[in-house]
Amino acid sequence: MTAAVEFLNVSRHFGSVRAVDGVDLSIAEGTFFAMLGPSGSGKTTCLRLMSGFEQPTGGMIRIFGQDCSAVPPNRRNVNTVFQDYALFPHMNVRDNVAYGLMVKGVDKRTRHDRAEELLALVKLEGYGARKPGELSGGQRQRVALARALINEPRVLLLDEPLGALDLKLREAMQDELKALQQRLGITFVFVTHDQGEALSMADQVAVFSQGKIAQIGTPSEIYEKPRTRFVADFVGSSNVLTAEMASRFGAPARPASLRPESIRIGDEGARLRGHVTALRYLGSGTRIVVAVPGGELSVFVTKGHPLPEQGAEVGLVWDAQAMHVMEEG
Amino acid sequence: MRSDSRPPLFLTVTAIGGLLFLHLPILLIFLYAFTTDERTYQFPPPGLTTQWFAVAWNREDIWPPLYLSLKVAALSTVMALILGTLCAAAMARTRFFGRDQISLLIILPIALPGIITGMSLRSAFSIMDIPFSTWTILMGHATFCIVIVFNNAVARFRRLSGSIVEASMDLGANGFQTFRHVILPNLGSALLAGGMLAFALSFDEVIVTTFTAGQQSTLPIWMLNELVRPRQRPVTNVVAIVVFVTTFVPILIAYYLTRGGAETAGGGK
Amino acid sequence: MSLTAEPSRIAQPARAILPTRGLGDRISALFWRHPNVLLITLLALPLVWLVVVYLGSLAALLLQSFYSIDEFSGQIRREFTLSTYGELLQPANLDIIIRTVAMSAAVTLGAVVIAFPIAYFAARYAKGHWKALFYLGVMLPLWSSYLVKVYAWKLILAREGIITWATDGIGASAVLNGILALPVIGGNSLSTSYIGTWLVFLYVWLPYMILPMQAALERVPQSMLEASADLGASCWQTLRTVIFPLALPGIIAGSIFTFSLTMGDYIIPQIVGSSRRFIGQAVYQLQGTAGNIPLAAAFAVVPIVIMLIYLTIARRKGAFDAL
Repeated sequence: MTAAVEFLNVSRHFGSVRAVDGVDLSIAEGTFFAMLGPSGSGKTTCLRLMSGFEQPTGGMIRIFGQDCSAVPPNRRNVNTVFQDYALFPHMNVRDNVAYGLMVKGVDKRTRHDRAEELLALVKLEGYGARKPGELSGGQRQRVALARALINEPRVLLLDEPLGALDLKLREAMQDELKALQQRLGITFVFVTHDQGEALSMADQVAVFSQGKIAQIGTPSEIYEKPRTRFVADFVGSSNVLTAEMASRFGAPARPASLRPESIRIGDEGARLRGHVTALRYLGSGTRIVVAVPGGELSVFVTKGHPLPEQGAEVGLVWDAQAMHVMEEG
Repeated sequence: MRSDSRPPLFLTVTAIGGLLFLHLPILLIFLYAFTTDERTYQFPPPGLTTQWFAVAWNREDIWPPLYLSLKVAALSTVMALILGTLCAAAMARTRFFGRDQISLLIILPIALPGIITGMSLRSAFSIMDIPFSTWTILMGHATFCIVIVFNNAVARFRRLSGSIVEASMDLGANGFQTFRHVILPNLGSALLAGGMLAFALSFDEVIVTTFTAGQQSTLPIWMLNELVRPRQRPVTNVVAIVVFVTTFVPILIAYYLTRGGAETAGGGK
Repeated sequence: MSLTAEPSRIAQPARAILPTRGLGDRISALFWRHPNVLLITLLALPLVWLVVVYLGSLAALLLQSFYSIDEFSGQIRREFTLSTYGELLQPANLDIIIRTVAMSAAVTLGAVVIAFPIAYFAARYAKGHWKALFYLGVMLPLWSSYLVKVYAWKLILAREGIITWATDGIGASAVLNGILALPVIGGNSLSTSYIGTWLVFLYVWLPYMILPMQAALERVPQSMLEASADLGASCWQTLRTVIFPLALPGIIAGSIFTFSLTMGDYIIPQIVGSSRRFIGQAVYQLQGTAGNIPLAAAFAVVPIVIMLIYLTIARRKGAFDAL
């Protein structure tokens, strides 16, 4: 099966700034693909390279096997949901949604019928006559989604589409987006800086750092087997054991990640002892910071388990396989 | 909260006095259009009459300058709209080498005193032996009107979300379709405002025009001649009212068209 | 629902690239691949216009100022010479230049004094509707017809006009006559005196001083003014030590307008004023009735040079941030 989107050693440099630097990636058709990273890591530039708003300074971009490096955005069969939604302020919702058909020369009745169908798909029946300015943030987001789907793209690009929504709405939209993607069966490429969003929605996650991909894998691979210290740190803020510490606990002498929830508090079989320096209540449990020789470790204690006091000396227990050895420090 | 938001009386009086100073003199123009005294500027007018409007209507020397002024203002507005919008489209979002120099070049015709622009054009016409015509007037007017349209258009371009242009391309529109369906409708009122102001500026311009008109007479030049060598003084007032209203109405419309945005119509005159 | 009910559509072979439709697409694609081509296309027409018509004319002005007039034939001699600039140094012409610069300075000073309360009030106290009213109140006179404004003042200052009537009415005609009797600035009537010319200049260019001044004052944080008052400074001290220095860039920006506009004007002194000429009038008469375009051009270069000096000083004071 041909990949929906393929990057072969793609670079995008702005003068001396290497926004995207030799990226290789391949997105299988029908996947929900997340591009995760801090701001300035190159994930948005990668998305813009796919849509055609940026042109690569090196490498090749293929969409369904066809070289698209020299194809302008209006001729690429991909569509984008913009971060600020980019709804046309002078058009009502129906005309916004129907825009893609209008510029193709589809007659008014057909495109309006089609727009109504798509508005129904995003649960906005009856909103066609309103102006974008009269809608809430969540509703605008749905209009943007409907508008991007009207041309039946094979790949839908989403640039931090949930960034402007409040927490509750964001969680509901996450479920809806995922359901929509499965229903349509098309490829979604999703840019986000929120690791929770990426892990919960995506089939595949690419973690970006400084214009390069630090790791590509399924959410569980990314979370449980971070390949680099950056990934371990950025995704779920893992503890990173130094090479020296790791070897002391029976792992190879390389840096290793150790998830806070893999550590228990107990004296029996304790690998390390230390003093509690901070407790942070998180609802589903409590995150405890323990000062140990040579650094500090985060420990996640789930609800119902006894909590140590601030300043108390505790022992830390974990299984040997919980330590995941990384490639570099 | 400190209740320091009430201005001192002295300041209020001087500020309002200053505003009155700016506005009251214009009212006299209206008053004197109705005076029965046609030789002097006697105040208060000895009597009031509306006859001067009819007299002005029947004065045949007024109509050709009026036509010429309207023609020049309309043509220079069209030229300024085209040239100013092109500049704004190029300069609004991109940075390139020489950009600052180009903005300076756009602003210069209005930043330098009119007499310099006028005398420069006059020198060029003299060197190149170009005879005076409507076109020579137009060259001056279009040049200093560009900046008015440019200012309005560039402010609107900057206020528009850049991604709506991208969204249009993304949905399959080419550059021309994007211009027609997305850019133009959003730019429309700013262009209308810019065009109104350019029209007002051109219709009323006299300093540059005296250097580029030769023997031709625009309405402001006609007025200037009447000011220097008056005959039937109240008729001049009637024409002044026409000029005032013809410039005032577009300015007011332009203000309302661009209200609420960061842009300010006419801030750059 | 409809999308899921269309398996046939999904089963189509995926097409990554849509076909090109016509010339518009092809030109757009060219612009997309070469953004500089688009930039050049957009700028070509306006730049050619501005460079050829405007810069070309400025160059012609400079060129003319280095020509001279043949005293016998009255024709322009198209040979390089500095003699035309030499003529500027004749006492009569120097007088014109000095008179113009002095008037420009006086107008600028007057504008600062009158504009300040308006700008300060609008920047600090005017809110909501009042703010809009103040803005319109300054903007409308700025844009309304120049000639009409000048004409209004001819009516006001005329010997039999409203000022004479008002001073007679309150029994202050002695004061008016006293002012008119002053040497140099006085005259036969207000409309033929320097005071009259100054007043009209002041009136016409005042909005150009208010707007940048207001812009500069609006950037001064409210708290800074209050802080000074809290520390026990009197209003006058606050004004002198805090507000005025902060407003200075705006004042300089405004003064660029008032100074340069006064220097280049020839209509106001022609309509309201004595028969003594200003630079603008000299330029106008020399190019017109006298037919001495080279000397007119040289005269027109004078305001440019003075303004360049002025701008250099203003730039050092940071005035351009307020423009």
